[in-house]
Parts: sequence; C-alpha cells; structure tokens
Amino acid sequence: MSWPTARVVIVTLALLGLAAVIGGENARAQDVDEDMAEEAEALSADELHAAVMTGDRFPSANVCGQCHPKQYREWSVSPHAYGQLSPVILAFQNATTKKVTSTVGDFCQRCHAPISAALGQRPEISALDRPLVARESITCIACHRVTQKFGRITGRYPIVEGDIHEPVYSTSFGEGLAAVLDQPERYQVQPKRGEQGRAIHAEVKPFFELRTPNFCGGVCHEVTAQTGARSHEMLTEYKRSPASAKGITCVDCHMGSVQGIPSPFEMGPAAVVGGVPTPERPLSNHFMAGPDYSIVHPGIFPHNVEAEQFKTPHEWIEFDVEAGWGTDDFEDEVDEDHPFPEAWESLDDRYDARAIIDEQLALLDWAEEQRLEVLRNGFGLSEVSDIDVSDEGIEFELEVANLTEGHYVPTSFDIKRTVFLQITVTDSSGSVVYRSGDRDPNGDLRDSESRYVVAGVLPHDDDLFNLQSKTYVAIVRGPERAQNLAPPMSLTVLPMVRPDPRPTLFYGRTRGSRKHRTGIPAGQSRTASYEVPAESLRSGETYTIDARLIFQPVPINLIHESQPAGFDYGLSPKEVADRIVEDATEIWRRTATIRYTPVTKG
Amino acid sequence: MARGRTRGRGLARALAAALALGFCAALSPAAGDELGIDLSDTPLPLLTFEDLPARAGPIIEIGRGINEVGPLSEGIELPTGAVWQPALWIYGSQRIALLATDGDRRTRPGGDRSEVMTRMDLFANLQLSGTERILAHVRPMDRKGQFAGRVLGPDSAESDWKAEWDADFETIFFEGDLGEMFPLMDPQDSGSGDLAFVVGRFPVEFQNGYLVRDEMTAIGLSQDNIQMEGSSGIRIAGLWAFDHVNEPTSMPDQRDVDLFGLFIEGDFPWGLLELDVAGTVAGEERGKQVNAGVGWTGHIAGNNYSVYANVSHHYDQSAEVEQVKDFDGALLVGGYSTEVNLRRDLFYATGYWAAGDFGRVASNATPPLGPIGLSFAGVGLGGYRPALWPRPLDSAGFAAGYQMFFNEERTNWVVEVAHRQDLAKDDGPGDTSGLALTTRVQQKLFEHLMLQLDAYYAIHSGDGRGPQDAETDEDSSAIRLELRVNF
Repeated sequence: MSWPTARVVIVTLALLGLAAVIGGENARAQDVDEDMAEEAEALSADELHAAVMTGDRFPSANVCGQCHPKQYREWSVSPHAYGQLSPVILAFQNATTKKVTSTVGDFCQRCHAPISAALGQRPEISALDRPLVARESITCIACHRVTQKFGRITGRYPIVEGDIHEPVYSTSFGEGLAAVLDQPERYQVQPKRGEQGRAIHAEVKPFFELRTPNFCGGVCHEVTAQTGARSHEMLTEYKRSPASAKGITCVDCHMGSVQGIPSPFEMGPAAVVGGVPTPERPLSNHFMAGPDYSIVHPGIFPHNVEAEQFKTPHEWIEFDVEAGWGTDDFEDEVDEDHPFPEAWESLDDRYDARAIIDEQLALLDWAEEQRLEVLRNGFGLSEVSDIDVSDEGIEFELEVANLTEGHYVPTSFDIKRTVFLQITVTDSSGSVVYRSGDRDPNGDLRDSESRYVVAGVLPHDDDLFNLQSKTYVAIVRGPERAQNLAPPMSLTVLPMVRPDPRPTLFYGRTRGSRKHRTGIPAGQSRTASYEVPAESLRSGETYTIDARLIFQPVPINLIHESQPAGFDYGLSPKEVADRIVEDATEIWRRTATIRYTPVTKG
Repeated sequence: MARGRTRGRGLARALAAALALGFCAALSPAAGDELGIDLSDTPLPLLTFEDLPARAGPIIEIGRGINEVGPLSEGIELPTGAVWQPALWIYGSQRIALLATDGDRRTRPGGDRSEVMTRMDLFANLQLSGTERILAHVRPMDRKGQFAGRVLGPDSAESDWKAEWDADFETIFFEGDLGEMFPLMDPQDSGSGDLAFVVGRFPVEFQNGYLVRDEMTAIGLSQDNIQMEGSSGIRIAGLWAFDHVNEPTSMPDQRDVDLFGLFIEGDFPWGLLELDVAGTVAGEERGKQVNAGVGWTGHIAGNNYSVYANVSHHYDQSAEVEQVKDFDGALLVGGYSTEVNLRRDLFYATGYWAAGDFGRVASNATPPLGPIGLSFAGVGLGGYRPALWPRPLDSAGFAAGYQMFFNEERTNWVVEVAHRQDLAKDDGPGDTSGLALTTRVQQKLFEHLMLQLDAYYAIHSGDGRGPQDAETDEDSSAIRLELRVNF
C-alpha cells in the first residue's frame, strides 16, 4: 500500500473509532440547548395559564359556553375537543420528534392544539400542564376567530387574538346578537370592555367560508408535511366524489341532526343569554361525530366547567373511578385510614366528584351512540354470501361498502385508522375451527407489524381484511417497507424535516416515502373472501360463521413504537393499548350457519 | 498486475477484519431488542424538553420557520382569492470525504488514488402557501463531476487544492395547484380546477429511476385521487420537457431535445402499479427514443416485492451520426426485502436481467443500475465509483444485503454481496463481470452531524476484456469516510 493511501486509511479508521465513541455517548445523554431551556422556562405553564385565564389573548370555550350551552355541550365531548388530549398523539409526535432531531416542531399541534401552538408552547409538554384553552384542542375560536380562506394550509393559519369582546366569525349576519344588543337590560350584557355586566362579543362578522369543504378540508383534514409527504387527503377525495358533484358539503353530513348523512339542522336559540333564549334559527350540531373515542380519565374529558373549577387535571387523574370512589358501595366499606391522595381526602369531595363523573359518563355514552351512527352511515356490511361447501372446505364472502358520497372510508388519518373484519368459525360445541382478524396478546392484529408475528410466535393472518392504509418508506436498497413512524431511518441516520427537492405535488409523494391507500372510495365496495380448509372440518357438523366489522383509531403496534416517548397521564403502554382495544367499535355483525356436507368440486 | 493484487488484498484484509469484528458486536446479546415482544405495563415518563434533541433548523429562516411554534401572520390575499404566507428557508448539506482506491483501473488509469473532496448542496425554498412554492438548488463546490478538494496521491502533479465553483441551478422550479391558486374560480370546491402543476428545472424520475432520471426544464401537470373501481386512487401525470434533457448518448449539445411523458400510478389492495411511457424527439439526425415501463410493488405477509420491466427503443436516426448510440434493449428488475427481527433489521435482494443496450430515456450522472445495490451505485462525491460496472448492457446480476440498526437507530450498518455477469458475445465492449463485497456504516454524531463509511472489495473477470481498460482483471477496492453536516 502506498503511503498516501495508508495515511487515508489510518485517518479513516481513527475517525471511525472516534465517531463510535461520540455517537454512543451522545445517544445516552442528549445535548440540551441551554437557550431553549431558558425560553421554555420563561414561558412556564403557570404563567401561560394565568395569562389565558384572563382571556386576554384567546378566550376559553368555558366563556363561550356561558351563552351557548347547546354548542358547548356538543363540542365538549366531540373529537375536536379531544384532539390534543389523546395520549397517543403526543407519544406518536414525541417519538417522531426524537428521530428527526426535533424538526417535527409544531406540525401535529397546529391541528390538534392550535391555541397551544399559537401561544408558542413547546409541543412535547403534557396536556396536564397546558392552560385550559390550549387543552381544549380545537376549541370555539379555532374556527370562529378565522378570517380568511387559506386553502390547503395544514393547520398553519392565524387565529385572531383578543378577549371575549372581539368579534366572532360565523355563517350568519349576527341577527341574534343584534337582538341581544338591542335589549342590553333584558339580557344583562355588556359588550364594552371595563364596564359592569356580562361580557359579550360586540360583533358577528359573516364568514361563510366556514361552511365550505375547503375550510374543514383545507385547514386540517388535508394534511401535507413540510417534506411534501401527505397523510390526510380528505379534501382531494371530496373534490372527486359524487357529493362534490351534487353540492353536498361536510357541514351537510356532519353538522346536521343525523351524523353521517345530509340532514336538516335542529331549530333553537343560538344563545341563551342571562337565562333568556335568543330567537330560534337553524342550529348546526357541534359534536361532528368522528370515529375516535376517549381513553383518558372522565374527569378530564369531556370538558366540563364544573370539573375544571373543582379540581386540577393532575388531581383528577388520581380519582379512582373504577374503585368506586364517591359511591355508597365503596365509601361504606372503605377503611378510615385508606390512603387517599391529598386532593381526595375529603369524603364530600369524593361524592361531589362522583356526581360529576356520572354526568361525564352519561355524556360519553351519548357520544358513543353518535359515533356508532356516523360509522354505520359510512360503512355497510353484507350478509355472509357466496357460501360454497365442497371437499376443499367452506368458502364464503362478505362485502364491505362505502355508503358515503363524500370521501373514502376510512378517511382523513387513514394510515392509522384500523377497520377490519373479525371472523370466527365455530362448530356446534363452540370450538373455534377458523379465525381471522383476531388479536395477539398485545391487542394487535396478526399482520406483518405484530410483534408476535415478527418474532415467529404467532402465524401471519393471511386472510386479514383491513382497510388501514400504510406509509411505505424507502430503504437503503430493495423494495420499500411499511413504517409507523415515517422517517427513512434505513436511508440516513440524520433525517430532518426539510422540503423535498422534487415537486411533490406533481409526484403526489416524496422520494423517501409514500402513502399507499387501501380505503374504499365513495360509493364503492370491496369483497373479503375466506376459505376454511377441509382439514379443520367434520362432515355432517354444523358451523357458525361470526363476522364483525370493527373500528379502532390506531393499530396497537403504533403504541409499541411510540412507547419510548412515554405516555401522558402516567399511563403505561399496556394500559393505552388495552383501552383502545376495549373500546373498539363493532360497527356491524353478521352470522351464518352452515351444515358441512362436502360435495366433490367439479 | 501482481502489484495491484497485493494492494487490493491488503485493503481487503482490513475490510474483512472490520466486518468480522462488527458482526460479532452486532450478534452479541447486547444488540438485541430492548423493547421486547410485549407492551410494557409500567408507566414510562413522558419525554420532556431535556430529553429531546435541540431543534436542527435550517441555517436561514425568514418569516415563520419550518414547523415553528408561535403566532402566524395573516398573509397576503391575492386578487385570485388565494392567501399566501411567504417564508424563505435555506438549508442543505456540506459533505467532505476521504477516499482511497486500489486497483480500480476502470475509473482511474493507474488504479491507485487517494483524495479529499467536498460537496455542498444548498437549497432555497420560498414557501408561498400550503401548496405553492419555489425551490432552487445549487451545488457551488462542484462542476460537471469535478469536486473541490485535493488529490493526495499517487500523482503528485494533481496534489494541489483545487477549487471548483458553480453557481448554475441544478434545480429551480415553481409548483402549485391551480385550484388553490384561483379559489374564486371554484367557490363550491367542486374540484374542477384542482390540478397540480410544476414548471422550471426539476428532477424527473420514474420506474425507480430505470426509465428516466434527470434534471430537466419542463412543465408538468398531474391529478391524484382519481377514483376507479377496484383502486384506492389513481394519479395521472403528463410532462413536456424542452431543455436540459440529457439523452444517454454522450452528445454534447442537448438543447434541441424534447421529452414527452405520461405517467400513471395506482394504489390497489394488492399493491402499487406504475405504467409509464416517455419519449424524446431530437431532430432528424439523432432520431427518437421511446421508453416504456411497468412496475409493481406489493407487500405480502411482511415481505416486500417489486418488479420493474422496462424497454427502450431508438429509431429514426440518421446513419451519418455515428456517435449516437442505439439504446435498444430491455431491463427486468425484481426485488425483495423483509424485516428479519424485532429490531427491524433488513434483508434485501434485487436481481436484474438486461438484454441489449437498454438506456434511460434521459439520464443524469447517476448509474442506471444504482437502485439494484450499493455495489452498483456511486455516492455523488469525488472519485468513488461503483464496485461493479453499473450499465445494464447485456448482463445479469444481483445484490443481496443485510442492514442492522443499533443505538436507537443512530447507527446502521449494511453488508452487501453483489455479482454482475456479462452476457455479451465477443462483439461486446469487453467482459464486465465481477463479484463485490460492499459495506456502509452510518453514525449520527450530533444534531447536524453524521459520519458515513463506505468500502468495497471487488473481483473482476480475468479475461482481459474490460470495458475501458485492458487490465480490469485486477481486484479492486476502495474505502471512504464522509463527514456530513446537514443544516
């Protein structure tokens, strides 16, 4: 080897050794940017809380709810109100943030917690430490303090700042408000700052953009990362749909009296001011059912003015609902020296809390009915059909249909929405002879991302029917692979969120990743086929096919991949997964009974 | 020749020892999956500010930064009804690499070479709205394959520092969506004007780069989420390129070449289907070329598959223009990959078969067979060349590799074996067969910094019919270390 070559080799190897040392050390102890730490400290949660509670910058829904109780109640238990409270979104965001050297920034927060982002709060902080209006997620002013048509902006829109006296933006000319302002004594209102009376916004500015699909879809339900990667495509789905051609909008199906189909608005007063209702008019439904459901403590969600005034979120998560705190059954039996947390030592407090919790649980039950309604208006499931009994076994089919006219099912965050068929075939004694869509011990489906399948403990479910789309990410060489967290770690150890060097609108994706869609477009259907092999069957036996179409918001393997980031509310990954599985929604169920008398095929 | 083999063996031994040591470390119990198979039933603390790395933002951000928290501006409303919130972000990378090669006479007459070379990629992205933007890309420290740096040996005449400066745009384009730019034309959001477009000089790549991979001045239109029975969405794109179209012909003047393309991609439950066709028109003497390709990528039970079948045909060429090659041929590529354990280590294997002289319809300097394996690919910096000859030309081959991840994915390591078999008869340009062992290690150091080691050892055919040099029947090897700063 010549000397120059040798020198290069020596330097190379020396640098490589140094890199291994530095890299390993760096992985164990991440550097902390002192300046940013100070900045975060300066904007402490307490200070922000205090500032916001004054309503100087962004009024809370609690303030709006004083005069708009119907809208507040619907919103309080809605998916919009839950957006930032989900421990899954925070863990998912933080796990991704770590991989891309914190360049995710506020990307998730802009839609899930727009006020928090506008306040400049760091995205990774616990929901428990955010001020009330930030914890409210997509709160009233997230829509009613928007002034312009921004288009496909992925949540990066400004929200007008100011206290409750600032104008609101709505799809009316403010006739109701005018009636109130004409009779300030009757309604006991005071639209001017600093004077006695009920504070009220002084003006309603018409903003009819709120009714358009471009607002819902453009602002948040069509999501494109700064890299150009697309994760939600609801608006472009809509624009190619029959609903678009007919002029049916998001509001028609999701803010009417029936969730998921075009339906008329209820009639009623838009506000009840000082106990006096305003004139009746059509009222939109602010629940806007989606398929997601809460897995957090019922003292925290639904939003509840009384609950928020009674205890802090930190205190609420200590209240043991399951144990029966605040019920006669529990309190009559509990030892006097039972170690309650300080906030819950008072028996009266526990009874008061239980009353709130009962109210909350009733509201959650109502929300569950609404959720089932929207899912059943979105998904259709045929009876078990095309049953073919032969010496090869039993074959049968089920057809899953998209009943909507406006978008795919599943839609929006469809790379995580898990909609699957759970099939169980049992004999007359109840013994299972065939399964598909069943779960591993973690709660995952037996697909290629189940830890049990990857480890070879359980077989892959080859017949699984799952409408979840996937993110596929380029790897160093060879065909792309599926990833829950999108950074292309196989290509580079230093991925960062930067605009793609290619025109991503033209390609519909970035070079490093793409979304593979498997949802069903509007008005279409898809068939699931199953075959129970003859080896599992006995001639003359009667078999029952049990088919369930099930929805859950995210796959459990996402919980596994996010768990290094930790979960909010002190939840363990297992608890998060169990709650998701436990509350998974059975949309439809079909059964069929077959007597197996095989006939030779052909 | 004997001296070259001795040098190659020296490097090869060093490489083999490094690989053996690394494999031992990789397969040790400490390298197992820390998370286990089951979800933890112990609450794990939420990551805090102190646990997360400092934000690695772009070097310059004017206006709101990328994903930066805080209030947003109202923006500017255009007469069309669109609202723009301009922000300028300047970012890129600086790379510097040490390289030593032995016996690589195919790329460097004389075989030996050591060097230190640099490359900078600088991007300026002017984001106008959620959909509209202007992107410019320059590479100021290299020009036409020559990089700023210093040759260390063995030729002392070349050993001065050499500066290469280039202010030309590699890429500069405007992209947007017509429906978003003119929202007043579609107040009901019916989607009638919803059409993505791009104009300027931009990278064009289809069929995983087998059909076309080039930066060209063009105008393109596309629409996605087109709904068809059985599909979950179709994208159709059309392209007309009218400048900087680089035919794979080595012709010096490419200015009169036009390229037309139609590219269709569909998501189906059984996989991704790509149907693409593109052709060039380059005047009467130089003729026309048309390429067509079909690609499928599927995922079955944790196994990932892909197939690309491409053909190229050159016609209408004047017999008087001898320097234009006939790129008539076919290329068939099949790939497989899978995750092999809970740590998500990867195994991949890709094979190809090329008949005739297949060529991209337009091509930049990247090797056409680069997507097959690291052994067929360059690194885009300095004199490092692929271990195996990367042109399809009557050959078949494969690459099979294994990638391991360590240290919370801050480290990864690829080991690859690849082979190329020359299928040409005696009238070919020479025997291009070879066998290579290639490795790559990446290590993240800090928020903006990483190291990459690449090395290979290759055995070339011994029949003395090399494509560029009569002495390719030598072993060859190379090792390089790159320090990369992303900013």
